[in-house]
Amino acid sequence: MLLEINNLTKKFGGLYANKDITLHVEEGKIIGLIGPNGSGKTTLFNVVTGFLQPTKGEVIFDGDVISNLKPHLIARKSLVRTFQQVNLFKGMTVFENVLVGTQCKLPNKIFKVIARTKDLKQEEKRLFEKTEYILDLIGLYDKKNVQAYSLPYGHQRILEIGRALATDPKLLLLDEPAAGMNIKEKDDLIELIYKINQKGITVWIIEHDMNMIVGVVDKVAVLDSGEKIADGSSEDIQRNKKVIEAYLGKEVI
Amino acid sequence: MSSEKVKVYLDKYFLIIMALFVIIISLFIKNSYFYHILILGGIYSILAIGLNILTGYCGQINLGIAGFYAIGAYAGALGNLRLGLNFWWCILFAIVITGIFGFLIGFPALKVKGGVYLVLVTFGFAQIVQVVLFQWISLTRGPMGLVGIESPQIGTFTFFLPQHWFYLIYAFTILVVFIAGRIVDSRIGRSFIAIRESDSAAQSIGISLTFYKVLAMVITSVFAGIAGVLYAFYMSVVSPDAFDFNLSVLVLMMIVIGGLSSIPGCILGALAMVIIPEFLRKYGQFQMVLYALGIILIVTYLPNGILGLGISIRQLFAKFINSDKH
Amino acid sequence: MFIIQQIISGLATGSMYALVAIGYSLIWSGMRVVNFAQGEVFMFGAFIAVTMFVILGQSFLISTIAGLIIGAIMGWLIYKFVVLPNKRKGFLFVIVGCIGVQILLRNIAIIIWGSSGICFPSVFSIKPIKIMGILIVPEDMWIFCIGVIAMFILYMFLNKTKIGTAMRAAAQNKEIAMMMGINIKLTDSLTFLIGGILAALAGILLAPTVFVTPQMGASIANKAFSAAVIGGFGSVPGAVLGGFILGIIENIAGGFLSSGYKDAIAFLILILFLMFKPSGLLGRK
Repeated sequence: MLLEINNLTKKFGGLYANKDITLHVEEGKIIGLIGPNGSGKTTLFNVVTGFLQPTKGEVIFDGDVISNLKPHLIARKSLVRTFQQVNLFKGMTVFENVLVGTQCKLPNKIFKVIARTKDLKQEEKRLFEKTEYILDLIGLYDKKNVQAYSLPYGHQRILEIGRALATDPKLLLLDEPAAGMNIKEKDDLIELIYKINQKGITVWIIEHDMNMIVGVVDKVAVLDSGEKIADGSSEDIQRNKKVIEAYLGKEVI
Repeated sequence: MSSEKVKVYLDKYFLIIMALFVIIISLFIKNSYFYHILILGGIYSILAIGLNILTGYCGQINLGIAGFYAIGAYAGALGNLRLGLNFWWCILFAIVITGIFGFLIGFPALKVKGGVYLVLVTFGFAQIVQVVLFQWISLTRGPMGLVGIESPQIGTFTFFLPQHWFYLIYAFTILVVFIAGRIVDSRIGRSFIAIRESDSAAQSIGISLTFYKVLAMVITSVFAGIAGVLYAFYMSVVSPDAFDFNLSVLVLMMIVIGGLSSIPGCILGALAMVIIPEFLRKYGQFQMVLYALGIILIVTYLPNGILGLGISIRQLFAKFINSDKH
Repeated sequence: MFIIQQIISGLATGSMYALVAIGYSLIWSGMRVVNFAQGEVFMFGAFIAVTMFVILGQSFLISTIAGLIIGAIMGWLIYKFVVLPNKRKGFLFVIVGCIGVQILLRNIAIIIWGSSGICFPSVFSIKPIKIMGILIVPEDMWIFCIGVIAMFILYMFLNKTKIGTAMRAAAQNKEIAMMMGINIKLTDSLTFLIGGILAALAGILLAPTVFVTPQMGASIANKAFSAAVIGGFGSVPGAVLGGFILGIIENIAGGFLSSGYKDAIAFLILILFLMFKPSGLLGRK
């Protein structure tokens, strides 16, 4: 198992945002995470990626316990996430956004950087090439000098994924990547996710759009009010009574 | 030429432009008062560039750069007067001392979340430094200050004429511009900017907030320390009242007015803040009123700085991208 | 005995710190900005009052009201012309703008009134009276009482009136407040207005005890800042608590140390709090 979440609980004051969740993510798969609004999905992502500390339980990634690590260390271990609300470096260009991502695992050799040694320049060249490759992969190569803030919304979301890809993740967590996209953009997104997965990257997606989920994922986990209520293939989930109740009780699919 | 292109050329060739500036000035200017103003401008430029790294690039507000400047100046003065170190050793000495302080202040201050706290800690730090300098008479002679700092020497040559100082100070300024340029135009600089743009996004791609914020703080304090030593040796006296909150504010305004996160902008801002008050001196009190109005207007209506040099990161990277294509 | 006397005179100082500190916390909690020109509004309020009282021979009450009105107007002007246009550019720009206002006001004051200042004659008696064996200066008591009354009025306003409650709601959660139809611009400008009034009042209260000079804004601003942080930056009750604590500690320390170090006390306490309890005594988090 690439990612093991064992009995994870996250409390805010008296409120259980995540309650005793046990969930495993198999390497190489595309997993979904769904649930009504407020069921604790983003909180779970936040805990797994170190932005929040778990109250109880543990998270094991690639054999290492990461439950109490800081976010940047988790990212360096190849567990990377995108955000529910677009979280780009707005003041940078498309190219620069992805470029910063490529630096993720490099050591901070301050004096070498200032001295601009030969091998450093080589490294920089490779980073640039990698950036261009990723921009090509996500389809934003021709926009590389555009300021990130002026991109249309759909492209901004794709750019954020590109930036995450630049870090060489083993596991990529996408938090509602399709939010606000139109049909064409969603199709492109699905294609991108497949491409990413084909490269061996495990993908875990939070989504509201059932069609997207059904089409893409191998397995789905369902949260409701902080607890995991179901876990299985998309067909099983769609027929699962508890899941249907959770959704109909709170919103219409 | 469009303003975008101007900015690109400015960044690319700035070192050369500065060197030319220094040479031309020294050939044509003989007025020692003029040199004095330019020299102060050069020292302030170093302060401004330092502050810009922490505040302009990394986005952390620092209201206490006067404190590091003071520590540098006194380290230089005490190093020379009490420890017998010459100018060059004092520079190293000050770098180490201010670096240590930068780290000590930066580390806890930057751990605390929320922009206000760094503002307050740096503010308080600078105030405490000034109070200590005033009160620790046995070390600093308090308000009487320290006098008689020796002039720098290289071999048998002593720097004492305005022209000598002009060259010396601007040699340092150009060096600082060079180093700052290297820092900023690198993965370190990109990490700084990333942190400024979004803490959380930066973390999510492996950037350690603590490491880079503290690094920025140390760089800023070291630059301020260098400026302090230059100041101490140039004036050959130091006293605590020169290092007050107004100075911290002045430097902050230099970088905002010159254009945040633009190194040429820092120089511009520094020179502007030294030269303009001199021009306005004729008006006496009105000078300050105009100055203050100018600040408010520029901050409000020209957020990119007087010449619009500020926060346009493109220019930083335009170099690399263009050279990559060809 | 000595300590108790220091505590009591500390209450007067503290009440002034508290008034200005409330301004800082109110503005921070409502708008996430720091008004660095608060000290200058304090100073201007004092000057207006002293001008009316000493130069124009008006009664203390009228002078005070004039000072308060000017304080309110200044607070609003700062909001409208410096804070509002710069808010979206970020904290740094607002700070620099407010510092510009600080310099502006200080120098306007120097132009109008000269830099050496005006003496505000004592309005309340400075002859100490003995109550229960303790020497109390009536002036201190008056300052304390007026300050507390002002804080009480503010409390009633914030908690018992519609607008005050709207202000508190906006401070808690801007988005929800907007959705509920609360006019954020109104609450924001009111916040600055009130901050201005409080600062001016503090200035007027301080005026009879010292020379009114254009520089008096600077030191009060620093102290009140520290007070707000000690109490928890953004918390109005915290500002009150912090103000009194600072005033008292300063007075006690001032009895033992030289006055130069007395100023350093405020900063020392500030730094200590920032390092070990940055949320202050009553702050959130």
